[in-house]
Amino acid sequence: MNPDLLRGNLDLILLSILEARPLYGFAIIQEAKERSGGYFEFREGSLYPALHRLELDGLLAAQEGETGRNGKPRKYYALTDKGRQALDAKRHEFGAFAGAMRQLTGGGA
Amino acid sequence: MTAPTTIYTDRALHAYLRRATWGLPTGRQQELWDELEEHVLARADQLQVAGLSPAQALTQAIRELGPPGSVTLGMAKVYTMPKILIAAGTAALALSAALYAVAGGGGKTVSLPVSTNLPMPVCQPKLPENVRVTVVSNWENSICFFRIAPGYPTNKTIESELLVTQQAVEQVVAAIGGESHLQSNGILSISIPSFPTPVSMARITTRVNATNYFPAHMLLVPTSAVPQYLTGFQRPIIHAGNQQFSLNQDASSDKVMPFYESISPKLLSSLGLPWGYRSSPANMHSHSVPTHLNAGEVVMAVTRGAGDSYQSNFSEVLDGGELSIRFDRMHVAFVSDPQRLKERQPDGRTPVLLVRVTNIPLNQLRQGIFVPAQATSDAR
Repeated sequence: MNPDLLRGNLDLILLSILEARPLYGFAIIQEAKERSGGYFEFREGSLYPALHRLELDGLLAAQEGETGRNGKPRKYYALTDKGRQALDAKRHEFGAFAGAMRQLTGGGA
Repeated sequence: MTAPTTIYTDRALHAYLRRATWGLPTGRQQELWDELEEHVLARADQLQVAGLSPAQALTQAIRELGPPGSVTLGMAKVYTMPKILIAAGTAALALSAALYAVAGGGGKTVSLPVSTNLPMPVCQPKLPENVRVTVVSNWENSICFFRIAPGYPTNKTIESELLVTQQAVEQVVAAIGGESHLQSNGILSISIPSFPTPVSMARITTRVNATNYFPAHMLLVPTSAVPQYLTGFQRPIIHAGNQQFSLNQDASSDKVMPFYESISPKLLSSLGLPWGYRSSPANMHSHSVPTHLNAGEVVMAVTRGAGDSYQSNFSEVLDGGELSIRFDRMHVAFVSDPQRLKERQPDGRTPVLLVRVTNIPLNQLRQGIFVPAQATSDAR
């Protein structure tokens, strides 16, 4: 997988994963792997900065979850209303991009 | 800047987290520390299920995080930290390789000899008069010494206690970031970071050929933030930090003293229980208990005796999860909490607490408590 492609679409990927329910970091990585048939495998080093940035931007909200293995409450990330709006916008944006690429490259996507 | 508090972390993980959260605002630093720590532990659990050892799993989970410097840089951009910190973070990427070397560890195994049947000093409130002696220790109104004058009886030997050398204790304590110090009165004290006073003290048990020996339980420091855990029954291994210490019986001993019995005071203390009595082997009854545990795990069974004293017995889980263990009671009921050992069971059964003591951080030994699906047992 081209890491540049992942980097450019990381926000869309994370917001999509969290659309259905809040998840914590490790679970997000597992979900991404499962739902993409193993295609998306995040580096944790890029995941957490992205989650923190989306939280600071108001697209995600942190929630305290059950106690983790280190005895601390797990930090879950939930999509906010602003995040849902951003997700819709990014989906449209990606759809338009993918359509244009299909026309340009003659199919495949 | 002091590091955020942690409950459970390997030394390499601790170093990684310190680097990865470096420079963040205080509240965010703790937050990210906790997130990354939980992530590593969750992934390590997953890898253990896949067949890796706990140490291997933790090492790989740390590796998968990627260079800590990349986390630092990523977070620096999120929290718009000063450019100087971003620049320093870039430089820190170069240090990440060194950290990887630590995390990738490949901890070595050190062999520690253990001994029984060593000559023991005499201990009494004061020294005898007109007798030449060599003092071994002087503590708590008790002086222990060897008589060196000719014609006196040979010193009493001990058969029931497993002993290790002072060097062995120092090595294991160093592996968890602690320090050991032998005082002039023959008392060894063990200190660990974040504790203002020594967490463990013991007098020299005996001295042979200028080598000081201590009880084997001095190898364990359950309060250490850098956790220790145990594996193996016949050949126990203490995992401490990135190192493993295998315990080898002194080839000259003619009686094998089980390691786990020798450390039972420390294990019981970790559960908040005092150690107390020991049953006669003639009064022991065999119980066969099906468990969910893997073969090779070691289980401690705790029962309560008279007063507030407790006894522990150890056994190894066999293939299929079968645990064959001996208690001094015919009919027992397994309980889920140490406090329930004091309760009288309505059916007259003796409460027993089962604790898996292998592959469990000793500072979280309570996590090893389990109640088998068959919650009672009758001796065969």
